[in-house]
This record gives sequence, C-alpha cells and structure tokens, in this order.
Amino acid sequence: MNRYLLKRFGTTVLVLISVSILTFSMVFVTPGDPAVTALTEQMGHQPSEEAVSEFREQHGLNDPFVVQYVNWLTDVLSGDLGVSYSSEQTVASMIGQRLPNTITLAVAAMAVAIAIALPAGVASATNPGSRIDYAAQFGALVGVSMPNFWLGYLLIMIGALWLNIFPVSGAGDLAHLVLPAVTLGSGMAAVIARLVRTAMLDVFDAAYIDTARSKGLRERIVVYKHALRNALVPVVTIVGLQFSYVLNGAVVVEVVFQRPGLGTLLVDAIFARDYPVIQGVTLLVGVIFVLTNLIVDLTYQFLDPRIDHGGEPV
Amino acid sequence: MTNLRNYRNSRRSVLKAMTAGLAGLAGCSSVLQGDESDSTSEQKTTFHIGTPWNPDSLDPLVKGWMFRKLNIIEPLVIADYDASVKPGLASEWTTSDNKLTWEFTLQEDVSFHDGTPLTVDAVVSSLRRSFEADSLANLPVESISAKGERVVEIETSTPFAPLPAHLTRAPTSIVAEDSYDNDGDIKKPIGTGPFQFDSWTQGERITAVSNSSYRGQTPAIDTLVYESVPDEQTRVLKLENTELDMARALSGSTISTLEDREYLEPVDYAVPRSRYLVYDTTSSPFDDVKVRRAVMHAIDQEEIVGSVLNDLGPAAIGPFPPEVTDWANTDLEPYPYEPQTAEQLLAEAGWKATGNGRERDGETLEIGLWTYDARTLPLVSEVVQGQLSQVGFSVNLQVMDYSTIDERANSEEFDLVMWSNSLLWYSDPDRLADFVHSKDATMFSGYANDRVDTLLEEARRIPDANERKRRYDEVQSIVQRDVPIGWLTYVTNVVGMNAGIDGYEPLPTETCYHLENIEYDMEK
Repeated sequence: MNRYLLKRFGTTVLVLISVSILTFSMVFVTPGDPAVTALTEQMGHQPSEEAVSEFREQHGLNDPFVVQYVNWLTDVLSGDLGVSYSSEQTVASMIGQRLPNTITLAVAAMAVAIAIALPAGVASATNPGSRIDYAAQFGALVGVSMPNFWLGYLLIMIGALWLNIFPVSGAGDLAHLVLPAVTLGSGMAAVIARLVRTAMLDVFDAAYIDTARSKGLRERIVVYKHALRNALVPVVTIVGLQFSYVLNGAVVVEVVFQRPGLGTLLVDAIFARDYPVIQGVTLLVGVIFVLTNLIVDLTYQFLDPRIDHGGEPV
Repeated sequence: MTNLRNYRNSRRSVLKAMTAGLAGLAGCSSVLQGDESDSTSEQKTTFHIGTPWNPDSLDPLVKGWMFRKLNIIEPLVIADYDASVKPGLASEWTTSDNKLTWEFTLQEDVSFHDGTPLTVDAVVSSLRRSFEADSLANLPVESISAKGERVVEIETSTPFAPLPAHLTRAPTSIVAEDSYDNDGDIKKPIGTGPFQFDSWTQGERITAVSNSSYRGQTPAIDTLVYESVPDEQTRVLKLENTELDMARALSGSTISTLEDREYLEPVDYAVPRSRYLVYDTTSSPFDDVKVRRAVMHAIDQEEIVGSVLNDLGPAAIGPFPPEVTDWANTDLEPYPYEPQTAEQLLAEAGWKATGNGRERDGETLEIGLWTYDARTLPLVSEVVQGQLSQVGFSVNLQVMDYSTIDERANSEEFDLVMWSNSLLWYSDPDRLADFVHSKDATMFSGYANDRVDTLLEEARRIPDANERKRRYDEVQSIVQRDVPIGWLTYVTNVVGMNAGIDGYEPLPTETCYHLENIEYDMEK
C-alpha cells in the first residue's frame, strides 16, 4: 500500500509539472501582449508606450521563457502564486475568494445528480423493460444530450423570467445556487443513472444474488444491501471522476449564470492575458483533478478489497 | 417606483418561501437570516447598477476609474457635461508667467469620509502617489508641493496646457492617508464624494452608501451596489427581472427589448468615442493617399449606421463629435459616399480593374482588415468588407484580440485596422497626439507630418483656449486630407434603466455616473 501510494504521489508530481509546463508554454505562444491588455484593463484606455515598457520590465516579461518559468515555479514551491496583472491582488487571495463558490456549486450539483440518479437507476434496473425503465432511459438520453449552456438559459427563462422565483445570475444565497446546480447536476445525473442501471443489472446476474434470494431474503434487502453496494463500485469511480469533470462543466455554467467562481476567474484571466491567474487556476484545477483520481482509487479498494494494483500487495 | 418595489418584494416573498422549504430540507437556517436582512434593507432605497467591468481591485491607482464613476472619490478637476474641464476639489487654478508653475486652490470645508478635513498636505501626499504610477509617469510633472494652507503647487518641466484635463483622471483622485496600510497597500478608498465605500467582494461587487455629510445635496440612493455582469444579455435579463436598476454598456439592439417593458426605459446619448480605420501608411497599398481616400469614398457610413448600429451612430466626419465638444472642427469636409470617385482614385493610383478585382504590376488589390470584438466592430467590419469589394478590393477580415492587433500592427506590416476609442477620456484635444503625432502616437499608422507635429507641440504649450483651438482645427483638417485614420462613426452609449428613475443625466466623457443626482418618481 505504501509503495503504491508513493508511486501514485510520484506520478502526481510528474503530471503537475507537465501541466505547469504546458500551461506556461501555451500562454506564451498565444499572440497578444499581456502588458497592453493588463494596462488597458486597469486604466480603462489605451496605455502609452512608456507605461507598457515599464510594465514589461517590472513583471519580468522581457526575460526568456525558461527564466520566467523557473522563477514562477520557485515562487509556487514556496507557496507564492504571484500577483494578478489586472487587479494587482495576490492570485492566492483571488482563488481563495472564488474557490468556495465553485466547490459549493460542485457539491450541490453532485447532490442533485445523485438524488436523481440513484432512485432512477435502481427503479430502472429492478423493472427492466417497464414504462419506468423507458422513461428513465429517455430522461437520461435527454440529460446527456442537452448542452449545459442551453439548459442554463432555458432554466433562466423559466425560473427567473417567467416564474420570477430565482435570480438570473450571481452568487450569495441558496436561491442563486438552485438553477446552476440543477443545470450542472442534471447532465451528470443522466450519466450516473445509466451506470447505476447497468451495474445493478450485472449484479443481479451474479450467483450470490440468487443465493440471497434463495435464502428467502426480502427483495428490498437483496436490492439495497447486496446488489446496490456492489453495483456502487463502478458508480463511485464515475462519480469521483465526474467530480473532476464538474470543474470543467462549472466553467460553462458559471459563465452562463455569471457566478463568480474558478471558471469565471479563469475565463476572465484568459481574456485579460493575466498570466499569473491563468497559471495559478490551471495548476489548482490540475491538483484537484489528480487528487480526485487518487481518492477514487483508494475508495475503490475500500469498497472492493479484491481489487489489486498491478500485483502490488495491498 | 412603488410598484416596482412591490413587484420585487412579492418576488422576494415567493423566493423566501421556496428558500425556506429548501433550507428546511437541508437543515440549514443561516441562509434564511441572510434573506431576512436583505428584505429589511429593501425598505431603503438600494440601487443596483450592472456593468461588464470587474471590481477586482480597491486601489484607486489600479481601478480608480470605477470608484470615480461611482463618485466615491473626487479629483481636483472634473469633466463637465460639454466635455470641458471645471472645478472639482480645486475651486480655481492659475499658471505662472513662464507657464511652468500651476497653483490649484482647494475648496474650503471639504471632509473625507472618515471625518478628517481635506488639507493641502493630504492632497499633496495623495497626488504624489498618483504621479508615481505607470499611467501618469509620462506626464511632464516635476514636483508637487504645498503652498500655504489652501494651495497645491505643481511644477512641470515644460509648459503643459493639458494639465488640468489630466487632473480629471481617476488615478489623480484624492484619497485620505488612512486609505492605506503601513505597506502602502489600499485598505479602503476613503474619498470625499457623495457616496462612501462600504464593502467589496473581489471580482463581484462594490457596495457604497450615501455620504450624509457631503457638502452638496445628500443622494436619494441610500445604498449603491455596483455589480459585475460581463455578459450583455445577462445584464438585460437582470434588468427585466428587476435585479438591476441600471444596466450599462448595452448595444443598440437592446433598445426595443427595453421599450417593450413598461417598467424599463433605454437612455442613449452621444459620447466622444469613435469607430475608425487605421491605415498602415508605410506599406502598399495604403502608402498612397489616393488609395486611402478611395476607401473613404467607397464606404457608405449611413448604410453602416442604418444596417448594423440600429440607427445609433451617427456617421463621423472628424475625430470629435460636434454635439459633444467645442473642440470639433465643424468646417471639416466629409468624404461623401461616391463609389465612382473611389474607382477613379484607385485607377489613378495604378490599380486597374480586372474581371473580379484590381491589379497593379501583377499584384492584386488584396488587403487584410483586422478588428476585435467590441462595440459591434466585427459587424461594421463586415459591412466595410462588402462595400470595399464593390470597388475592387479583396478584403480578408480577421477578428483578433485587441492586444494581438496592437502587438502585430506595431511590429509588422499590416493594411487596415478597425478600432474604437474614446477621444476625450481626459477632456483635452491633446489626445490627438496619441493618434497622429509622429513620435507620441500610440495608434500605429506610421503617419509623420512635420506641420501636424509642430501644431500639436505648440498647442500643448499655449494656455489660451482659442489659440489652441485654431491649431487643433488645423490638425484635424490636415488629418482629414491625409487620412492616416479614417473616422467612420461616432459611438452612442445605451443605458437601460428602471422607468421609475428621474434626474439621470449622462456625462458624455463617461468619467462619472453622477448617480447622486437621480430621484425616484413614485408615480411611475
């Protein structure tokens, strides 16, 4: 287990270094002068040549790529993510302000997804070929096919403009969370429901279910205690991985609902050529992605200890 | 306004009931308390204004224009409704005989929001910090000092008539010493305006409250909430949903939506901002003035205004819209839409018509037109592309990021760029130097004209407004003749707002919203 963990952490570090190099390179090969963009953003008008060259000098933008990268990495390793070009705030504080909103959205979306998917998946699997099954499958198909931004605007039209119940955009209270969480969660619900159904049907075919039934256990216990627990192994994996993808989805959903989170922070930073913010957010998302994968693998073991890892003793 | 408030309150109560249900399910009661306090504050006048710009810094040197627009901070000099300069925190100013020393006399009985008086020392210290910043570093200011109890003395290295106009700029606004912590970082902007800073959520909103000890009239708005809503469509939706009382930076196409709602109204007004073409005067084909003039004759500006700008232009002749400012040269001759004249000029320049375009010495008349996505520029560019193709140009339109255009146009050959800019973000025509001075220009046409340089440099040194105007008029005439920059349309701002608001008078220079002047009309 320890060797396995060590190996996983080693891979994690390598992945993160690759992410940082890739992000750094991509930002630098993108045309456009961050000094001009940042100063225009700050001043609200076109900057003078002097201001631009002073800015480049001050932020080390005249240094070669490698020097800039090494300087940045050294700072990051000492816990300093740098200072935003646009706002002159520390990147860490900007992320700190936005991260709770994104995490809240992600958790709420997961809750919505699981709340819809588990009952739908179980109902579907226990009544295969029934109307409930077809309805659930049709719902899942619609959920998977509908783009987040489209559903988002649809929900704004219905929930905010027609019914006048929810605010159009922003963040703050629970009311601001409902529409974005449903938007983001419904797509995931569809994926998870289909998976629960398939996994449950697989498990129902297993001999131990027949054994359980032949022992005279009540169907409810067979379904929820025996079948569902085992069916949850692939489901937890996907749910775990989906948590990382939620961050991707959150970018779109946050933009649609103008919700201040990591997604909108990243999009704004890209438009503003705000290198330190782009690098900081990307690195953080990379860390979350890699750590989520790690946790999924560990949870996997907990749920089904028979799973081993490439012959390593577990 | 009463109806609107009731409407909003009823929406809130439904929302509150729904939220209570959800919160109850989640075992969460703290959310309710937040909503409770929110609904209590609705009894007071809270004004929500939505703009595309992020309140991501508190520092007046970084995002000071935002605090200036909300009138939390005030400078020594302010922009008037005719885009001229008028006294702000300084009641008057004079220059010495050699035009190098300026004396600004401070108004009396002015206090900062923290109750401390506006002293000459506070002003000097605030201004010194401002003039050390990147954005003001290129001005010829040598020193700033106190002279007696009420006078601030500013020395310049050369005579510099635009100085008062530069003192209208947001970073020169005066803030109290206590605005900063010991490291010189901003804690909160403490100004002297009719609104005072209350709170800030980074990247989201600024909240300000009315300053009851303001030297003028206390604002009708108790709480002012500035929200960042980058997407235009969302700003309109929030306005329709009464989450905003005012939405700014809207395009002409939103006017009909706003007019359809009886509780909303659009306000449009001329601003000293233009959409224009920048020619690369140093490379073929636009190194030939005839080809530049041909473009001007080939473009139907009225068609642009009518087809893609919802009749909100109007067509531009020179850099400054005459209805906004006296600095416009009203004698400028426009380039009328005359495709035949354009074709003739192109032929004279050696570009002969072929079956499907034009050629000169085996080279086809193919040009690149670059623009960026703001103020309907891509759509206007498409119309221009179509109109130019009528006289034989083959136009490759590219929409890029503006900093990419800036970088490429300054470092490589290009043909044509469509840009939009404010011509008077500080209220002085010296701004023309940014466009057409051979060395000072930040626009990239490569234009160099000794007479224009001389006139601009002279006008900058002369204090007399009439003498200056004569020179700027001549600069505008020469530029109109040489067309390194072709003015296409002026920009009309569109603001959407609650119909229950009276007394909103938009300031053309866009430097301050002056929301302290608005009133609520209870009848609407």
